[in-house]
Amino acid sequence: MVSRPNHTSDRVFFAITLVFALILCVRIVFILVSATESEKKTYHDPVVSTQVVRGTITDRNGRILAMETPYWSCALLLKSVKDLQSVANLIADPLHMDPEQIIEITKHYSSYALIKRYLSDDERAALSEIIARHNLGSVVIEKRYGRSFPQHYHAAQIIGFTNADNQGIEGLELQYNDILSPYPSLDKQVTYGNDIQLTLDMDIQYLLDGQAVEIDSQHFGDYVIGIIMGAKTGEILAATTFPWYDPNSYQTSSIEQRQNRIVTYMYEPGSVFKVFSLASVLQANQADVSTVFHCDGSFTFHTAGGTPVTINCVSAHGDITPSEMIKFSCNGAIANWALQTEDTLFRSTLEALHFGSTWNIGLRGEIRGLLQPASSWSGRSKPTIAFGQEIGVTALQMASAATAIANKGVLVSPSIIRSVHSHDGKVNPDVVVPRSTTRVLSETTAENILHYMETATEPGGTARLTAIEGVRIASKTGTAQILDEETNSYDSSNFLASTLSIFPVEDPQYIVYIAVVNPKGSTIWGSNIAGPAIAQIIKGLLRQGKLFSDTTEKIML
Amino acid sequence: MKNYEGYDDAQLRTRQTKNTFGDTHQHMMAFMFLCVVIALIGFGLVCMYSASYDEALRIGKNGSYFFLRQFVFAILGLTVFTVLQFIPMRLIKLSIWMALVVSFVLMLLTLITPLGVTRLGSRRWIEIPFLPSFQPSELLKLVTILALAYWFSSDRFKQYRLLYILVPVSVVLFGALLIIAQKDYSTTLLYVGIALAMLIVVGILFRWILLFIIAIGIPAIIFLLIEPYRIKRLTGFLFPDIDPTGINWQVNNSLKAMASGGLWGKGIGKGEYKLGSLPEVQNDFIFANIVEEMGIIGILLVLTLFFLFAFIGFRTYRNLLPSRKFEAYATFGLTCSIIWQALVNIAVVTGIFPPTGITLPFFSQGGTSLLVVIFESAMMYKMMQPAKENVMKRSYDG
Repeated sequence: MVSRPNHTSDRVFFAITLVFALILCVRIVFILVSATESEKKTYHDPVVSTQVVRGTITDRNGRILAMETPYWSCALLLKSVKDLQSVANLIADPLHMDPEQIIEITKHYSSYALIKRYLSDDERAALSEIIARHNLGSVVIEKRYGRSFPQHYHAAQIIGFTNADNQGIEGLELQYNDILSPYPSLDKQVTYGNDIQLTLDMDIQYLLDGQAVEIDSQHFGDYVIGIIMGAKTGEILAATTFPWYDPNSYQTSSIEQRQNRIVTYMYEPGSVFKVFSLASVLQANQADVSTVFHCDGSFTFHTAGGTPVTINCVSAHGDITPSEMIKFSCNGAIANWALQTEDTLFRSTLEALHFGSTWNIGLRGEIRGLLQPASSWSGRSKPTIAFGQEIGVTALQMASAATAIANKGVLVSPSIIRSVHSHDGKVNPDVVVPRSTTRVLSETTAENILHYMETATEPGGTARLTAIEGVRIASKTGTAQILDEETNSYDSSNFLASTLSIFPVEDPQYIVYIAVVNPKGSTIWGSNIAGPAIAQIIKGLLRQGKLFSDTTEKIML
Repeated sequence: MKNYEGYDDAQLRTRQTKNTFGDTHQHMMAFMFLCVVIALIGFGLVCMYSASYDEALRIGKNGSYFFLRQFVFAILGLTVFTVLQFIPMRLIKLSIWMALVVSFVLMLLTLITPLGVTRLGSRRWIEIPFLPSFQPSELLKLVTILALAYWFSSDRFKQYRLLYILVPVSVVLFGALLIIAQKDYSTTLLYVGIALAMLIVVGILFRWILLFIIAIGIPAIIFLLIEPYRIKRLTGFLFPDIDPTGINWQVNNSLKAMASGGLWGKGIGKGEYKLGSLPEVQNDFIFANIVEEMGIIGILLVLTLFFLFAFIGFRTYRNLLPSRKFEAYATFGLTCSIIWQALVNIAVVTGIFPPTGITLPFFSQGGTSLLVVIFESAMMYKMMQPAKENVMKRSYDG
């Protein structure tokens, strides 16, 4: 027996339902009665801005890089058009368009149809006359805003551009789109976006861009990448990627031109990297650098498996100290010292110098580079990394790692945004520009390396072409082989020529790094291609009064 | 002498007399029920129109887009209502097992085949070509009620003894598992609740009911614990201050909407919270809009209509017993299903229950859901019709 007829239990459920309903009634009445005055207040639609004016981008001196410029446009109010064909016929002539074309455009809209942007003054005058004569209430001439880039190709890849609807599409225009062009705010008719001041200095940018063109005209590289950074601040003063484009007519540019290779191009840096690997060796303090290394043109060592590996130098350098290793760029010496240093210790300083990780400073498309974990290194990885192969870096990483050498061992994070101001000129506190300083090298290590680099600019040193009389310059050149991705091997005709300079040595102010990808001219050497360019940039800085030397006046003459 | 149902002859006679006597009364009840259902559909459409106008504009449709859809389904529903009245009860009874299998299959199809559609994170809808998408769980609920009513009303199954209780419990358990698998915890609760009420009403002994509660309750608690969003909803409900803009945001705004209307409301169509502060108001939170716009009159209208619905439902159940047990049990189950769903929805909107995702029958936007509710009402209306030949047959049998 599992059931017993009980036909009265429905009353219980009806009662439960009723009680439940009563509780709900009490609850609702409570909500209604307990409502505060503010809750009863009727709601009014707030005023929402009908126009958002995009903020301006300037360099550090207030020179305009991107701004809003007004232009005239013609639009049709379709709801008040009675006879579209006749209106189209009337306005087609002053607009220099076909009536059919106008009707085709209106098909994409339901009430407001934008017929033509950027009316010339003649077009506007002719159209106004037609409107007045035929009393065309449905045709409006409107002022709209578009983006202009007065500096044209200078720093174009960094700034980026906006589309026809004034939305950021690339570069900082995209990255900071919400800051430049915020959501329409309440209680204001017009919302102004924030102005962004960059760390760039256009005068220095011109110097760098000039040299990029110069290098390209003489050495025909695939790309020229250059960056000038404030040695103490990490601020990017100039950055260039050649070939470039004009953001005012971005439609005609190619992807190749639009890439910001400062952060998107990964490559093996070659001998310039010895600066950082020597710093790592000295910092670990495990290698015996006090004993001179004898270089006879090649250096052979055995991996753990016993395989002999030979590393070649450009020539037999003879007896090599750390200073001379930098001066002559001796592969054997740095390989030997790296081998004496523990893998993880060697790698940890490179990691601390921010190789293998992004800086995230607002430059879009930044890549991490490649610094393999020590566990996946082969027997020849460490000595290879020591002279700058088997490691992937970006130009930004190279330049910012150099701040540690320029700043007595303290690494300064790079930056591109100097400040963000609201329209009334106040610093916008909502936008925080992250900056950090980290000690990664000891003071002695950093100072030693800087002085070793200075010897490279002395007669006989690899970087002698960067030398300028009266200015103490620390430089390191490099000529790396570029891996051919198709064959996965190094191509004997494909090189990357680069030079890193820090100056003035007594109180470093600037870091300049220039890399030329695949030069096809008479020389492939970093010292011959990037070195002279850096010398020219230093001369330019002297001329601009941004650098002083004993012989400034002489150079200016 | 007591017959097998536990009534003595005298009792049976009085009840039958009451039934025959109550034929006019029953006609009256059925007519009232029809009026209530039509009033609910009509009032529901009015409220839906007001609540959904702005939302329709926002998704780029005509303002009456949702209303027209709902209207078409209401007309379709009333057509189904009429057609159902001409289908013999025998045929309905015969097709129950088939319908049960079909709804289980549909549930499984939703879960494991591409026909199932995930909306707002839950895979509850099924899209069969040439048919509007719908939630098979609504169908399962309806069919389960009819199946339980049929099983317990037939003497044939009583001889199975233990199976008499185990079969329906298994069906309910399986159904509940399928609904839980769709992450539809609130519908599961409602489903199990209705089944439980029916078990009690048909007179299943308490110890079996306890077994049923344990069989359902333990998996339910486990499911509650393994889905973190349910815990979140629960904590958000219990401690609203922790997360004022999070999961309780809609409930808070619903309370504000009701409070802002005051006792007399802002007037039909003049609600302001539907203009964005209370997103998707035409669905689960339509009651908040009704209160905001119509104040106490709206509340009274909705609650009175649902009260009448419940009253007639439960009353019909009593009137149909003991001779027409299938009709009685089914009416009871369907009444519970619609009324409890409405009450749970209002409890959510007024912040008594945690947010669940249960709609307000007749009012919330959703074509197939309205269709199912009208079908359920049609079923109830059909059961209310006096069936003399049955009574006569019964009295001869007795």
